[in-house]
Amino acid sequence: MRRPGGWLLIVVGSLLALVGIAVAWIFGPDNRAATGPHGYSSAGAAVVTAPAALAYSGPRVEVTAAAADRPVFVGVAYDVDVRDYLARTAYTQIDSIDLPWSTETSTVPGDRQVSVRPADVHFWLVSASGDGGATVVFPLPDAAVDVVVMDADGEPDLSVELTVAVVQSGAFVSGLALLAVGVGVAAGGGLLLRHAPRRARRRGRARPGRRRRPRGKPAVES
Amino acid sequence: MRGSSRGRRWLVGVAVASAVAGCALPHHKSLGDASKPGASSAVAQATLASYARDRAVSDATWDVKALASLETGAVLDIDQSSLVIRRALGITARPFALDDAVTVWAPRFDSYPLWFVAVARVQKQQEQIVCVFSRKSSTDPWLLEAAPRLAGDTETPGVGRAADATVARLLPGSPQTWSDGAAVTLTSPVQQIADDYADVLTSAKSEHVDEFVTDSFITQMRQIAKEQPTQGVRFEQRWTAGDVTYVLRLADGGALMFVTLKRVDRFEVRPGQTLKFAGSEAGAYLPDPIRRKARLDYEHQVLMVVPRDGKPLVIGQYGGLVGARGR
Repeated sequence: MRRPGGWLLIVVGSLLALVGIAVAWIFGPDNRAATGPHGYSSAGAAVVTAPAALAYSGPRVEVTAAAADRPVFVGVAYDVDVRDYLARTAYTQIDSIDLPWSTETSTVPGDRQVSVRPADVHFWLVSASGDGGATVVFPLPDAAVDVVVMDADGEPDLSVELTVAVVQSGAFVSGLALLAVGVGVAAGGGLLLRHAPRRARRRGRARPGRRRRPRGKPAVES
Repeated sequence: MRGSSRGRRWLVGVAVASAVAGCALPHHKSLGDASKPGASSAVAQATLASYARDRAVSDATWDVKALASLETGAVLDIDQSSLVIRRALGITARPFALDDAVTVWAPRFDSYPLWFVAVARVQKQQEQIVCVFSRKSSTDPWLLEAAPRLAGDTETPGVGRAADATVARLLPGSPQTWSDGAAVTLTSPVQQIADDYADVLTSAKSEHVDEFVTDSFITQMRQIAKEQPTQGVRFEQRWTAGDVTYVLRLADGGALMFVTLKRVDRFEVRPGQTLKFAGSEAGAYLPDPIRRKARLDYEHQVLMVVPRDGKPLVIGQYGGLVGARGR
């Protein structure tokens, strides 16, 4: 029983180690699985994801928008609020996102500017703004929400670089820990194989189909 | 996130990595329902607290205009008029203060306007206030649109809640369907119930008298009508119901309706007679004395319970004189 058990531990340990390496590699020391920056622009005041573009919920996501020399606003809100807020405004809509990163966009016509600055409305679930860039981190909710990237003053001709990441604190350490556990399990399997009973090893050599020569008698070939 | 094989592989990779790292696993969500609750509990509490704070300032400074940034509709008419009357009569109001909401009823909406209901105790008074806050658009503030008061010991009706704690509302323009798609099972349309109730208030001989419980509001309003002067004066009182907009479904399938009732009191003074309003609320608006005719306009917001099986009754009200003219 020790021999198959040893191999099983080696296989399981190797798999755990591979997954651990993958987790550590995907998240990295900053615990972020990121893609980007990806460039988007709008003749209007905003770049907005459609609800269908955020068709999954669960993970904690970080969205960073960067635009040189202008104040940037990033907000997440219910689609009902965003549709009403931008009802008369032109913007670029990200209709779908194909991972790791490929998007389809469309242009929504309207006024080039918004009448109320994004920071002056109070429906955002999470929001941030800053000169040159802004970052929000939020769990992808089960509801229909949109990510809105705007010039913080609502000015048109927006051009931004978006970086999107799945964030999980401790992911890198978890990956390394899994790697260590995997290596340990595999090493345990190796030890089991090494200390398996010799009888079992001899049996292992006597495979069916091989002829064993009788001891003390020379082989005669005709 | 479309389902290309490369995308799916990436997603599976992230899912495995996420699971190992302790992340929430990504799962596909239903995209059919884009609606949202009218307000979260936190938003409702903050809106109520902000209203109470600003309303207290407005009361203390007798600032009629400031009220317009807090209220709308009939409740604004009533409170603005109340300030005018108090200023005219030199009455100082008790400081306005509310406890936190004990109940929030928030329906779901797929477009603006939004609204929600918050029930709170009025501090230092044996009253509860049932507030309807509405928001016309995403850039407008929450405004108080209805505020019937209940006695302190009145139990608020059981409003049915969905799994996400939201409540069902009657869809505007669709009186036979609740917002969750269920059919309305009331014996009459809600607007008809409100109109019939107004008819009962206008006349004790209304054909609809037997369709309603003779509640304390009916009793009180009939008593007020009886106490109006009749010597040398012809008095007439009429009630009409406004459009019924705010209706929630009760747990038993009935309805909880916010109804605005308009009451007009008309006085025709016989030749040689006079009518005096000095010192009364109407005196803030009317000349003294009245020699020919006067019209007093009142608005009352009532909270009406319409049980699935049973007669409707009003369990709370808020109202007052909103204007008067005469000569």
